[in-house]
Amino acid sequence: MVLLVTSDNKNFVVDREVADRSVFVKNTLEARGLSIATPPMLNGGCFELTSPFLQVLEYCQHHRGEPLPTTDDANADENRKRTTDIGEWDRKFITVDHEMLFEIILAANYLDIKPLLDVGCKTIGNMVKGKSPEEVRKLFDIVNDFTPEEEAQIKKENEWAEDP
Amino acid sequence: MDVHAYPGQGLSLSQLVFALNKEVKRVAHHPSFTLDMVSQLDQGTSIALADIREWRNSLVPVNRFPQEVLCLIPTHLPRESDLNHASSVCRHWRRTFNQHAILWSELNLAIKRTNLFVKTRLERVKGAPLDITAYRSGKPDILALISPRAQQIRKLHFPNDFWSHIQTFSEAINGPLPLLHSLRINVVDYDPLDSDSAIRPSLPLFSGAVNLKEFRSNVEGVPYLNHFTFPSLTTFTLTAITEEETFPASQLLDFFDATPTLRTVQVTINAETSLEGVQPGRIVVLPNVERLAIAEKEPGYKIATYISCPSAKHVSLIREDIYSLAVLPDAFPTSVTWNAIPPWYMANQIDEVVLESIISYNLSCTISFLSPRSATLEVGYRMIQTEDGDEVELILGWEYVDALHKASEAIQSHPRLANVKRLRIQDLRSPIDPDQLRRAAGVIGRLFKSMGPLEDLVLDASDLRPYLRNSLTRVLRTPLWSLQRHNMRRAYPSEA
Repeated sequence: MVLLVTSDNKNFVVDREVADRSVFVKNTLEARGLSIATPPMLNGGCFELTSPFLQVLEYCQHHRGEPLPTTDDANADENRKRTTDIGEWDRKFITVDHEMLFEIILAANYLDIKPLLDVGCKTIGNMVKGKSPEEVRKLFDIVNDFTPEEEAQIKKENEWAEDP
Repeated sequence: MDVHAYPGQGLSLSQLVFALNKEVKRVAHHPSFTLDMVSQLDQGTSIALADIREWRNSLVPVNRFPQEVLCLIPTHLPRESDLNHASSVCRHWRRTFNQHAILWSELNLAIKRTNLFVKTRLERVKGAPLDITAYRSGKPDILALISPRAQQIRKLHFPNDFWSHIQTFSEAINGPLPLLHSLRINVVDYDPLDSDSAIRPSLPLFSGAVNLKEFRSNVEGVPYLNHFTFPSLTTFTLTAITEEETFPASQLLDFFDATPTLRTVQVTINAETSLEGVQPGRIVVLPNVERLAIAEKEPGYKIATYISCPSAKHVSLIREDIYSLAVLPDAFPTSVTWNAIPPWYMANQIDEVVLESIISYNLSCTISFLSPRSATLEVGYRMIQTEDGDEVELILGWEYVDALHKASEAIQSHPRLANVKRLRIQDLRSPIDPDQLRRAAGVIGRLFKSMGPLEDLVLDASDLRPYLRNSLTRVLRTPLWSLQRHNMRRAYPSEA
């Protein structure tokens, strides 16, 4: 068993197999030879860590025992990326509001849990897919910050750029 | 209340906005300002406004992502247009995505792509690998842009092109192509509206691709394999379809001879095969091939006769033809044609025989002979619908019975069939009437009888079972047998 302590001093006791889903935790434990890892605050502590960490733990528990992705298979990596397919359980798991989704992605990135990071980014990919820039802006509360000249340049560059 | 101080001025943001408004109102309509000056002010303001919006955008939750995470999002977008749209959302996304070279690796040279488009893409891709899809893009100005980047090309795909354009492209990237590992060409035949379509290759094609691993060629007409030499090739797929010309077997054999590195070979020839120029008794040895699949329109395993694959684990020799209303003669080997199949495709001992018939949109009936070391020889027959591309569900009751009959005879005439331990029947088809089903069961029943005692008999997804009751009880000598349908085991204790 491993004790994980979050930046807001919440303790989580988890199986080593579950903790090892995080490459960060795994490497930290192996390097220190300890059973305690303390993920520091994420992103300067802008948000409460406990809530996404619970979600991340749920993900790790569900996927415990599954083979971890290797970095030496370039083709598998390519195939993994060029798709927006998400498994049934993962899809339900990641059906959360935007704020939570972003926090899960940041946590997965920090804790180095590639499959979870993929699920999060694919989910955003699915939101973006088929949408115009204006629709994407609306989705993420972004405003158009291009000057008219910049917009004209973009338009010119993308002339005849739609899918053949 | 706005508590953020404006750095260096001691002003809050709202005070700053108020001061700006006041200043504009003060100077507005002053007679000393000209049109140009006010236009300049307008432009300056729009830049300032864009900067303020960029500032605002930096504070929205999605832009809290580190750049390396934000860059992962478009890697999951399969469509080029989505990537274009994503990079046009805001300055931060545009800057981030445009700097991330591998996002732009896929370069689609559709017919209407402009020079500026290609130039911009190549600037973004920097030194990253290029995966190019070219649609009849023989325009010299575009090729001039691609040419200096030849060494970056990793994949090259011509989805629908003429030989002339492929040759022009090849000439443009003449020289070393060290990164190119995948080449896919789909060559269409003569187009009366395009004189280029009549031109045939006259030079070696992509000769700099010394590290090419995968070559897939789908050709209407002759495949001109004598123009390709790839010393590191491991995967080769060829589909050649022609009604007007014959398929020159010598080209294929010479290509194989020059490519001993091959590991996976799949050849489909929908044409008459010509053996002109092939020395009688010639054998091309492919020492590393693990999987060999040859589908020929003609019976007799013409090409397979000239190839030896001593390391092959899976060999498939299929007669494939376009849909017709009868199972073709010589669809399966008979006692005579078994001799035409070179002995190196057949293991000395057969452990398991699998008879698989599928009738839905295609009719296919194949037999696999498995050796104790899991080497497989598959022979059989596949009838495909390719005339107009519309798939029609086949209801071919008698053809199904006929195919089973011929397959059953082929199994029984296999020269090394003693001591088979397992027989598996996989049977997927559209419903047919009970009379035809009864006939089919009769054929299978006779096959059981001819094969003697078996350790294991499996019927996968088969409705033949009720018609096979008598045959089963006579054939099975051991208690182990199973009946499966869609992977669901069904127990029949009264018969087990």
